[in-house]
Amino acid sequence: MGMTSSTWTCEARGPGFAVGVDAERIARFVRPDRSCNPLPMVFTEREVRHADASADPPRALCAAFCVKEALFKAAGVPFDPLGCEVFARADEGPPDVEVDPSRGGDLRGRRIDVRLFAEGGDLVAAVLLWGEAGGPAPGETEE
Amino acid sequence: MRDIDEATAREIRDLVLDFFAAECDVDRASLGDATRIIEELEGDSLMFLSLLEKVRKRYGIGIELKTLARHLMKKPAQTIGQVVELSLAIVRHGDDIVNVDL
Repeated sequence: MGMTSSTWTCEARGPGFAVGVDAERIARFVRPDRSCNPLPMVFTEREVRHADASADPPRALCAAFCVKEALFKAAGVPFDPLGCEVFARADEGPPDVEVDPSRGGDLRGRRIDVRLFAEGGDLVAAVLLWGEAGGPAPGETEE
Repeated sequence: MRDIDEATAREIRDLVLDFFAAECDVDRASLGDATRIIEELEGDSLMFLSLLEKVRKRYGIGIELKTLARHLMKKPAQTIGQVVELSLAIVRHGDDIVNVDL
């Protein structure tokens, strides 16, 4: 996959599901000063600590950013990015996504499937967001 | 609402222009209010968020991204001039920006 721009976008919404895709260059998340949160409006301190403890901090932050952007595109409405924490995994599998019940907005109670793809120095996040805002995901019962 | 004097308004404008000139590696003199950030400078959301962090830090503003995103869905900022206006509004109104008809 070749990319001429540092970012591109894709989104699609259907009944019961929505898709969002985002891509970024990992190098953009290299921090000269590791002592501070590069984007306090986007990343929680827990996410930054998790990234810094990983083998590749820029990749971990890039993954968290891409997933949040893809979720925003899928949801179609603004949500508080600090209410949805993304933790990249060392095995390069799908990251863990934790939605804060008090701050997660329209993401609350919805199933979130994430895939990450790496190509050269780029990272792509594809998110599938199931269910309607405030409702159960397909195949799941409301408690 | 915070009052902004002429000197601060100029400072905010300089901050925005300097930021885009450095980030996009272009001559600052080539940037004007009508410059389109995505189409002409290949700007993106990460760049915009980095600028916002600079404005927030410089002026000690508390604003949630969700609030700003709501505002931007109503009134997108696509040119340098619009980003300058938005930055001024953020400094003036902070989280109240969503209730302001700019």
